[in-house]
Formats: sequence, structure tokens, C-alpha cells
Amino acid sequence: MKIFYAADIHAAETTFRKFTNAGPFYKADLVIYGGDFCGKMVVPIINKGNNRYEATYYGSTVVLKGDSEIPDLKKTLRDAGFYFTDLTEAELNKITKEDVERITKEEQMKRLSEWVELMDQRFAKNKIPCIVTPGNDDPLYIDEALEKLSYVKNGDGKVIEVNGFEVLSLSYAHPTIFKFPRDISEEELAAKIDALAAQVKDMKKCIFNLHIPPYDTDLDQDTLYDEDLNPILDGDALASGATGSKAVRAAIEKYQPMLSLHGHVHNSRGVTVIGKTVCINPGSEYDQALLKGALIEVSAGGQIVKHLLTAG
Amino acid sequence: MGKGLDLFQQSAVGFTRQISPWDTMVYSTVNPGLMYALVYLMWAPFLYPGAHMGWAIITVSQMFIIAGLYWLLSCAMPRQGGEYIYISRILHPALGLMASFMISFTAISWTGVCADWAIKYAIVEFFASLGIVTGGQNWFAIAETLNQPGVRALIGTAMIIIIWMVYYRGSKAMMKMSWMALIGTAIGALTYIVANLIADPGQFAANFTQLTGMNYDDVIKIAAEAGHPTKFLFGATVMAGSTYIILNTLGATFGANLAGEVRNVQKSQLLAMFGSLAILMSAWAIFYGFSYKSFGSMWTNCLMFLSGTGNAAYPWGSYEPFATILIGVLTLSPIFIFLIAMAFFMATYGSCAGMSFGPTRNIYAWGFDRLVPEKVAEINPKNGAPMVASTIALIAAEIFLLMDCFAPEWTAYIGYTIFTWFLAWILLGVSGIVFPYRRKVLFESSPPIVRKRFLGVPVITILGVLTTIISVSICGYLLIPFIQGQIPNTMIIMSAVLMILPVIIYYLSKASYSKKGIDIDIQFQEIPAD
Repeated sequence: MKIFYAADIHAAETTFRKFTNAGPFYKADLVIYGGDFCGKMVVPIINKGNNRYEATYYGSTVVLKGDSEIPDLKKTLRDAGFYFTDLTEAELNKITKEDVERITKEEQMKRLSEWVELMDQRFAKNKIPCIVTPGNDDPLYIDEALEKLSYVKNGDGKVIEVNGFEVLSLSYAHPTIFKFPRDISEEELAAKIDALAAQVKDMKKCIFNLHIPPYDTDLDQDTLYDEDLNPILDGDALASGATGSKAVRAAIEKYQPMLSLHGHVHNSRGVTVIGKTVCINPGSEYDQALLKGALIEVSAGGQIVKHLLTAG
Repeated sequence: MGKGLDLFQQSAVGFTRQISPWDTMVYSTVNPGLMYALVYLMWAPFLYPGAHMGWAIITVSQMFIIAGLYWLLSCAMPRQGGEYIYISRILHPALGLMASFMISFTAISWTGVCADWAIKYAIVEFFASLGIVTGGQNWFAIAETLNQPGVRALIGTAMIIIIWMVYYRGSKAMMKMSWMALIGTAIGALTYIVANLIADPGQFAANFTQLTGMNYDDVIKIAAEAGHPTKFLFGATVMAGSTYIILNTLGATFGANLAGEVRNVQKSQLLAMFGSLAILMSAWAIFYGFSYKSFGSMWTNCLMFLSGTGNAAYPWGSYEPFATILIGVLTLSPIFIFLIAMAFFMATYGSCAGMSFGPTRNIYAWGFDRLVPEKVAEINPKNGAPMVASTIALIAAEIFLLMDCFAPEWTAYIGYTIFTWFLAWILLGVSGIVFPYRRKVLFESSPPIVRKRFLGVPVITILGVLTTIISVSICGYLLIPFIQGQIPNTMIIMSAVLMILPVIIYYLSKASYSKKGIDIDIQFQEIPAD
């Protein structure tokens, strides 16, 4: 069986559309998504009057000299993983924190609902099973949108059987410097994994789909930040270190599944082995319209035949 | 309006900041190393007779264009990896590997060659300078012994083994080496300034005549008789600056790789890159300005010419007229000789380690992408460092050290490094030209600054055209001393090897993985979005 895995698309439209086509492209028998559907920011497109508009993103302000330029800007923002909202200058001046939270939630739900429909349509058409889970970046309220999936399965907090293999999925993470919505303590995370592992019939044919990577491996090395989220320099490179979860590592060491798939740390693309378990983080460059993934071929008996990291 | 925008920024999740302009500026300034300017003061006037090294500094302005291209590409593709990522993604993985291999192994070769420079110009010339200044033959005997290729190879090998141990200990130890280089550079610059301030040109001329038995004024006469121009030439100045001075600014583009998680455009980041170039230009102005003031501008060039051409009138035999000797003649002080030698050793050895450190990460990345055997991407479990890649890099550095010691024609004037580097930058320029057209979706989703146009043409395309023109010109400038026979044909052979080898490796790797049922090209094939 050939499995394609990707994670961390973060609302980037073209990258997501590539994900929905990845199954037939790589001739995969099963597609797994490892979390983080949501984007990181809403960009207000401000109507300045006299048919002029402004939007600030990536640290630059772009000025539009007419309505006709707006569709292009919106496509650019969608492809880069931004949400957007149309506001007048007066509306922006009066906006409150609550308004921003409401707009963010509405935009996240709107895009994810569109994606849910697209995923179901494309995977059903190609008859390729697909299991997805949110990630720790994703607010809990998006589960409502994922519940509407029909052909594609939301595997979060479940063990789902496909072609004789079991996929155990979990969106939660340990406490991170960014304080994401699904960050919980290492103890709580361990308990959730243990509860799911108890449902697995055969670990030799089980795939862990845990958003967060195991601690202190090739899969969790990320830039280190100070409390203000400024990157730290170490010698002549960015300082990096382990940012994964100890509970995830302990679970892999204890249960030894056939394969363990992870995301979260975009820069730590890699493959490592813990005991007998092959662990993979394909990394992510979602905002560059590039789908980073992993293609894994497994035998019917649960042996990893070969694996390849992709960048499509 | 600011407050409203701030609320949207604050509610953003997981965004990180970027490296500060100050850190970027320091990082870009210390690479490859300021004190090499003193080596190029010997070589450039010989290879380009008539070059005024003071005015040649202005040619560094060409680097602003190339730094600008790097900056825009790093805004579009901010992950670490630099030209390997840009060229692989825009043109082809084999070309990305080719450019990255050429630049990486050029930098690695500096580790080996510069280890030998640290021995030759710091240790050997320290003793030779003492001999010249004091007249003590014992000093010359020590210098002669240390200058034997076998001895230099042994000392250099020990230095490279220590660098391997630094890599094994990780980036903290590397940071200490970088600081050593920085402190050495500061000591060197200060010593050079003080020595030139306390002595006057008349004293230098008198000391030179007395110590060598050759009349100071005869240097220009003899050089002129041997074909050296009697006045400075514009073309030679441009070519000397575009090759040897620009060589020392290549680190100005390294800062572009220090991007954060998000493609946030920081204009201060660009300013830091330009600021590092301004600092480098100021430092050379000090080194070259004081040299010309104390020794005489045309006289300095003529002495370098006599040394380079092996003219019988050159007074110091096999010892090149490096700063250690010239400062010794100027001050007649063993303390100044020691300080310059020590500073050059610290700065050179510190940068020797730094120059291969980055490339070890590139080698790791090639292995990771299976463009070279996967083994090189192995991480040492004890220290988390790519020690196979580090070992490969340092074995290559050792080979270049041995070449510099036993077959110096292969590393002559490190011409091959400039030639190879700029050949690779031709590919970078072409990537910039075609980026908006070959990778339309990525270009369109890039930050607005990347998509700026001038007269309807993308600015990145214009910068790509200019980078290509500059790179082709610099390769052309290197061909002039090559055609005139001052640089041996080994420059071309070495560059050709560094260019062709990665392509052979790529296709061998592709064939090897193909036998295992793995198509390495599929990992780069683009999935249709619709």
C-alpha cells in the first residue's frame, strides 16, 4: 500500500488544492493529513475612498488604484494563507478586539467549509481514502466544520481502519512558546495517546498520525525564540533546538507502531527511526504554493518498503 | 488606523519576528574575513597592473545589485538554503545542486588554502620579518624550516583536525571561533592604523633602502622597465576591484538566508546587508589608504608586481611582501610584527572554520534530497550534527591544503574560486530573470516588494539581468590574466571540475535510486492545483 502524507497547509489555497490532487498524482492508496488547517492572520483590505484601497501584509503596504485590482490581491492573499476582510477606514478605526476575533472565526470557518466540500468531492471522485486531523494551531470551533466531512474522515481522537491498517490520529500538543489553542500538558497528552493506543488491535500495522513530533529528534529541530518571539542567533546560524513533545516520544518508544507521521515544525523536514518505528515530518512551505509531503510504501505485513519526501 | 491594524496583527497566531538588522550586519561583515584585504593588496596590483586599490573599492557597488537580488529571492523563498533552494525551484534541481556545489566547495577550498595562508603569512613571515628587521640569520632559518611544504602540510592538517573537533562540539564552539576571528580583525586593524600613524613615509623609504640594499626609488624604475605602467589605469582598477575586492564581500549575501518563519519584508534587513558592505568598504579604505600613504601608492603596486613576476630585483626572495614584512620595515618593531602576525592568524584561522561550516549544511541538504548518497545526511546521535557531511567537507579542505602546499599552481591566486563562484551566480542571475515567468504562482503569492515592476518589467528580472551581466563580466576579467599567462590554466580546469562533478553525481544518484524503484525526480514534480 502506498500512503501519501502532508501537514501544515495553514489556509494556503493553491497548496491545499494540490493536496486534494496528491492521491492520484502519486498513485497513493491512502492519503493522510496531519493537522493545521487554519491560517495565521486576517488582512484588512481598507477602502480609502476615491476608488483607492490599501492592504498591509508581509510587512509591506500595497496600494490598489481601483476595484479591478482587488480580485488579484485576494487570490494572492489566499495562496499565501491569509484571510481578508473588506473595511472602510472609519470601520477600521472603530474596530475592537472582539470584532477582530469574530471576523477571524468567520473567515476561518468560511474557508474551511469550502475546503471540506472540495476534499469530499475530489477524494470521492478518485476513490482514494483520506483521513485528516486538525493541529494544535486550529481553534476547537473548526471541528464543527470538519464534522460535515462525509467521504473524507476526521480521524481526530479516533483509530480508523483502512485496508487492514489502523490510523491513530490526535490534534493536541504539549505547551509551546506560541500558546496555541490545542496546547495541553505533557501528562494530558500522554493520557490521550494511551487511551487511543488501547483501541489499536495490532501495533505492527498501526500508523500514528500525531500532529506534534517526538522530542529531540531530526523532526523537531526548530529555530529558538526569546519571549518576544525574536529568533536567537548562535554563532553564525540561527539557534535551533528540540521543540517536540516528550509524551509523543515516550508513546512511540512504548507502543512501537509501524509508522509515525508528524507535522508542526515546518523547518524540521526529516525521517528518523525510534526503535522499530519509522517517524516522518515532511515539513511545510505552505505559503509558497508548495506541497511538501511524504510518500511511504508499506507491505501487507506492515514493513516499510521505501519512503520519499516530496515537494510538489 | 494604526490601532485597528495592530489588533489584526496581535490576533495573528504563531507569527515570529526576524533576525535583527544588527545581527545580520555583523554576520554579513565577518564573512569571509576582513584581513584578507592585505593578501589581495599583494595580488590584485600584480594581476591587474595599474590598478589603484583605493579607488577599486568603489566597484563593490556592483554587490549592492546582487545583494538586492538575494534579498528579493529570500523574501519569496525565505527558508535556509540560499541559492540551492532558489535555483532548484526556479530552474532545475540538477542546476541547483550544480550552483550550490560550486559555491560550497569554493568555500570549503578556502578552509584548506587559508589554513596555509595562516601558516605562510602569519607564522613563516613573522620569523622572516624578524630576520629582515634584526638581520638575525637564525630567524630566517626558522622561517625556512616552517616554509617547507611538508611542514606546512603537517601544521595545516593539525589545524583542520581541530576544526573538525570544533564542528563536533557544535555551534557554540563555532561561535567562539567566529569571535576569535572578529577579535583578531580588530587587533589587526588597530595595529595597522597605529603603526602607520607613528611612522612616516620617509622613514619607511629609508628603512627599506637600508634593510634591503635596494634603493627605494629603484622599485618603480625596475618595475616600469619590466612592463609595469607608470600611472594608474581605469580599466585595471575596475577589474582588480571587481575580482579581488568583491571576493571579500561575498558574505554580504549570507544574511539573506537568515530569514524567519514568515516572509515578512524587513527593509531594515536590506539596510543591514547594505550596511555590512559599507563597513567592509570603510575597512578597506583604512587598510589600502594607510598602505598607500606610508609605502607610496605606485611604489606598493610596483613592489607587488616585482614579487608576483619573480623579478630578480625583488629583495625578499620567496617571502611575499605581506603586511607582516612591510609593517616590520616601517616600524622596525618586533612587537608590531608580532601583533600583525597574531591578528592575521586569529582572523584567518577563525574564518577558516566558518567558511566550511555553512557548506556542511548544504552537503547535508543534498543528501537529504537524495541528490547525493543518503549517507551524507546522517546525523550524529551524540551531538545532533551532520558529522558525515562535516567530515566530507574537511577531507576536501585537506585536499586543497595539500594542493596549496605541494602543487600551488592549482590554487594560484585563488583565481578558480572567484571564477567558480561567479559562474554559479550566472545561474542565480538567470533564476532571477525567469522567476516571474517560470514560477508564476509563487511569484504572484510573494510579498508585494518582490512583485514590484519598473516600466512594466519585474524588478527581480531586472536585478537578474544585471547580476548575470556583472557575473559574466567578472569571469571575463579573470580570463585576462589567464590569457596573459599570469594565472595558469588550472583555474579553468578546477572550475570545470567543480561545475561538472555535481551533474555527474546527480545523474549517478538518479540511476542508483532508480534501480531501487525510487524516482528522485518525482520529489520535485509539481502537482496540479486544479
